[in-house]
Amino acid sequence: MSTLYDNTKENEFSDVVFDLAPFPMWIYDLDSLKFLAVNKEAIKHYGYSRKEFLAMTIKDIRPAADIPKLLKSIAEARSRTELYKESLFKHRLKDGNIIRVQIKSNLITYRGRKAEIVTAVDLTASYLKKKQREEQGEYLATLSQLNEILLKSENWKEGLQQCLPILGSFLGADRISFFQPRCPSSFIEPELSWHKRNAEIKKQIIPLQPTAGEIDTFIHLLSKKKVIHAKVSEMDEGILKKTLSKEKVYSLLSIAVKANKRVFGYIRVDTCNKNRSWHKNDVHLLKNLVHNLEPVINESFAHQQLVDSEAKFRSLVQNGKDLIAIIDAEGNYKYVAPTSLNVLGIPPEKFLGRNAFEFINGEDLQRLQASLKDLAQNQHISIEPYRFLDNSNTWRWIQTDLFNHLEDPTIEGIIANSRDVTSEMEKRLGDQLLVRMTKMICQPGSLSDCFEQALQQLIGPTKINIGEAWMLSTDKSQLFLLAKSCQNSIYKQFYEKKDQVDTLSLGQGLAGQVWKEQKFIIWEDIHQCSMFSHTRQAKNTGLQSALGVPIIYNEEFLGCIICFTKYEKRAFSDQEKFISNIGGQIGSVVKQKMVEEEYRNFFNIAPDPLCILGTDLSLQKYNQAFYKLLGYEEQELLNQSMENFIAADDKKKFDKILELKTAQAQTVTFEGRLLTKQGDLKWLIWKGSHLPAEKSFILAAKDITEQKHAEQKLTKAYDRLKNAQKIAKLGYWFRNLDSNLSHWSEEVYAIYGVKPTSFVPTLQNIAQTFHPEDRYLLIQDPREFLVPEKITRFENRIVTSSKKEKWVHQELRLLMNEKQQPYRIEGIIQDITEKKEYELQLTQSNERFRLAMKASNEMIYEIDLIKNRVTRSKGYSETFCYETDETFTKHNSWFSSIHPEDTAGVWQSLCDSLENQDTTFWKRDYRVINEDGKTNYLIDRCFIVRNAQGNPIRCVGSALDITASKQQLERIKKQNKKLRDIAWAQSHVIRAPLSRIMGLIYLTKEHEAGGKTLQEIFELISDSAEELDSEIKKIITKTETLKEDDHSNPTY
Amino acid sequence: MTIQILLIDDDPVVNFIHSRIIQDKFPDHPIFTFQNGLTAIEYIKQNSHYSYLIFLDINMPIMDGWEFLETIAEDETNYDLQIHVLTSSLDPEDKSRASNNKQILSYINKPLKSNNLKDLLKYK
Repeated sequence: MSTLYDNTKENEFSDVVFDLAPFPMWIYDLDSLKFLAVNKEAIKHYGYSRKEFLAMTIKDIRPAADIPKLLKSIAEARSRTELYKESLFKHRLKDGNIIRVQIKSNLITYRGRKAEIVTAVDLTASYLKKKQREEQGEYLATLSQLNEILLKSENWKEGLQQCLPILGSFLGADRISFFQPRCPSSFIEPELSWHKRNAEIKKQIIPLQPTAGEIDTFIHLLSKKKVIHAKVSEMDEGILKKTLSKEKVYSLLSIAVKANKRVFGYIRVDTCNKNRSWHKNDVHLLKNLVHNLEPVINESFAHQQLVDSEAKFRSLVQNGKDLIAIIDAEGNYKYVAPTSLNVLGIPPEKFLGRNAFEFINGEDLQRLQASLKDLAQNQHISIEPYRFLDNSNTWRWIQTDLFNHLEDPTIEGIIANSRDVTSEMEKRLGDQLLVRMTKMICQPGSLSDCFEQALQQLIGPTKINIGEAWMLSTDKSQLFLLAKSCQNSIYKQFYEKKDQVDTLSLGQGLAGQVWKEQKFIIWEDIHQCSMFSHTRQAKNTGLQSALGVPIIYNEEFLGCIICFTKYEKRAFSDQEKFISNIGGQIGSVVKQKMVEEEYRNFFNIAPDPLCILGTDLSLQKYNQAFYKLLGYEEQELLNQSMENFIAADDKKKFDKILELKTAQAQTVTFEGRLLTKQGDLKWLIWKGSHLPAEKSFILAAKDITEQKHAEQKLTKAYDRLKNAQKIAKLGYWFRNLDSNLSHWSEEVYAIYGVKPTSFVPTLQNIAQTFHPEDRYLLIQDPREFLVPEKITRFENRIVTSSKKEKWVHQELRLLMNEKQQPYRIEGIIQDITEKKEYELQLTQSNERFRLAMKASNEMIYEIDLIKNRVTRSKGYSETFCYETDETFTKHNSWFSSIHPEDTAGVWQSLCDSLENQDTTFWKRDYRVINEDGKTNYLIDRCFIVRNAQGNPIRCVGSALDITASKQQLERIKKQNKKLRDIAWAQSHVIRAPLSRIMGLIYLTKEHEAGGKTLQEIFELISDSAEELDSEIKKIITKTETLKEDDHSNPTY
Repeated sequence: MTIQILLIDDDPVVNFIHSRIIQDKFPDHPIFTFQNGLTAIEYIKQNSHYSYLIFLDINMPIMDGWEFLETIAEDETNYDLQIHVLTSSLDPEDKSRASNNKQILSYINKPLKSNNLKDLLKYK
């Protein structure tokens, strides 16, 4: 061992050098390892104070992991013979940082101890730089490696899989995974994965599945932040954290991988069993990896799309049903895709060199040529379907899009992308035809009229020239021609012959064949077809073919449509299909129409009124019986409100119809009256239903007017009968012979004075009501004394409950049953008490009358005009000759005594009065020749009694002899005449001279006597006065004569 | 045309009295008297062109006043007559009969006075 440096006087300088050395230095004891001395730089660099240093050992400035290395080094130092050694160590500063130091040490003896003086050169910076360089180098190398892998890989997945271990090795990760979270399971299960050998990763046997929310949140985070550093312990609670925790993953680094600008997947780097921080290079490497990976993925996608497109295109072009062709501006084919063989049956090479218009139907040619011309101004034109001839010479409907690429040097043509739309067109045409025909059939009108119009629709747009509709008869025994339609007058000639057939049996004619086979049939060359009966007519009109289309509904054959055309079968092949389908498609509407027609016929011919009302009670439909019942014409009632015809008192009854809308009941029945046009009321029983779908009400009625009238009459008659019974006090009763109990009408109870509630009409009870003297009438069995069906009459007395005695008249009849055995007694009972009283009164009255006749001095008489007998009193039997009781005729005994000049007038006067229903009194005076031959004057008066009809039944009168009165009257007349003469004399004769006197006086006074002298005037006055006196005397004489007359002929 | 006045009465004294009174009142009109209706009718028929004012008595022989009126009525339209009954009769029946006869313009009781003639002016 070399002489150790001894710290003597030179120590002070050494101490200064030691202390001021620019590198940390210390001396430690080799045995105890304690610091013996430290310099300032050490203190400054390591952060410990000198005191702290001297209290520590060199172990204290070493990281724990380095202690073994330290001890080994010390052991070496203890046994080393060389003084100097260099080595690299890690030291820990006071602040915990670890530095890399180069230790240069020398063995020394310090203050008598074996020590080592150490110089620590902090190489941390250069170490770090070196390390950084190394790391950078490693990073770049790794990055280069990764890029190379990705560039060279044919498949990004394979490339990535190769990258993962390299990445993992660089990152020092325990596991790296690539996830493509298409679903929750793929979020947990990686698409690609690598894990470090021996990595302690606990795989879940049944991995937990995160929720969609967790996935979305994670993906969203990834897309935003791109790189996620996370410690699992600091993650939000969730399935992901749980899973990672269970897998002992402590920290992770995750980065999103985008493709086509959206998160395609993510790479996750896991560290297990310990948390770690990620270096910048780690993240950069990952980012670079992803950055280089994304284009590869995108390219892969693009490539895949291209491949797919190519495959699709190839599939479309080679295996599809579209036709792709390239034509020039004139329509010549330059290229045709192979699909032409599939679609048209024509191989592509057959088109080359030919013009497209050669294949197109003449009717569409013009349109297509125009479209081709229009393409010059447009880049793209879509052509509506047109007909194209296929290999089998069948017209196919083709729809084409033309794309103008004439200017494109790579194409120099027009791309025609065509599609076979034959099915669609046929369907469309068929649908259009079906719609038109259906519309015609469904319109109002008879089935034959509608079908005629439907056939017109069939003829119009098709190649059909004549259409016929044949329907199966109701009994299914024959077909009958329902309707026909011709395109024009030429084809009407087909029917001009009189031998036209309107009915066909099964198998007869084309229609019969269709009926038999119930399928679509075409007959060609009908002008020479033996099965066709009208070959001549077909030839004359140029008809070539006939088609038979069955009309079928729910497998039921309804009839068929027969079409005639001038075209051969081939020429209308493009229409054949949809025409043949018509029958099945219109079957339902035809059936419906037939049902409707049946229904309409039933509706119209129904004898009872039927009507259909709208929700506002307007008349929408009604049958003949309805409008005839109301007395209107057919169209007068249409859309009128039903309320206009309802009797005012019955309007509420008809409200029941409206209640059907909300009521549970489906029908309503009620009686209600309607007003006819003439203002009469009709009684009807109504039954109605609500039809919610049609928003209407259907009503059926039964005219019960006559019945009602009859009922009313019956009711009135019954009421009248009851009233009549009541008025007549007439009751009806019956008793079955096998019963003790009688059945009484109301009046019978009234007659007996009992009530139904208190009296039971048994034989015993009835017997008690009979007067005791009349009860014998009830003892006998009625079968013993009653003659069957003959009426037996009798009168008896009854005693009512109020002890009142009544007389009743009874009429009985014994009724027989079908076996001619008596089974019932019926009878009527009438209260005749009043009648009996009247009879008594009448008897008394007649007696009084008889006595009065006897006492009277008039001749009282009674004429019974019914019996034609006259009864007279004997009043004038001594004066005149007459009978008291005889037949009443013109030549009766009394009339024979009438003066011959008066007889006719008297008889006629009496007859006139009897005939005049308004006359109740007759009076006439006439002369009668008495027994002495003298004439007597009589005045005859009588009252005429008439019955309810106004016919005279009786006359009661009297004849009075007025002869004495007459004579007295004559005398009075004479007297009166004399008196009138006297009065006249007073008025005229007396006054004449008086007025003369007065005139003379006036003349003298006022007019100077008129030229006469006073003497002359006095003489005239004197003459007049004497005349006056003479007349007065005459009057007195006449008056005296009257007095004498009175005395000789007194009047009394 | 001059109106002639006819007095038809069988009493000459009455005719004299009445003619004097009438003459004083109608001095310009001729007055003729007749003893019965028949003579008056004959005159009128012969002189039908005149208008006549007639004072007619009722009780006259041969043709009384009523018969005169019946005869005149047969040719009524041929004559222009104003007939006034001038009678001594106070018999209500005569008065009633006169009032019912449209030919008669008035019923005057004898003796005629000037006042009666004044009333006749309204019949002109």
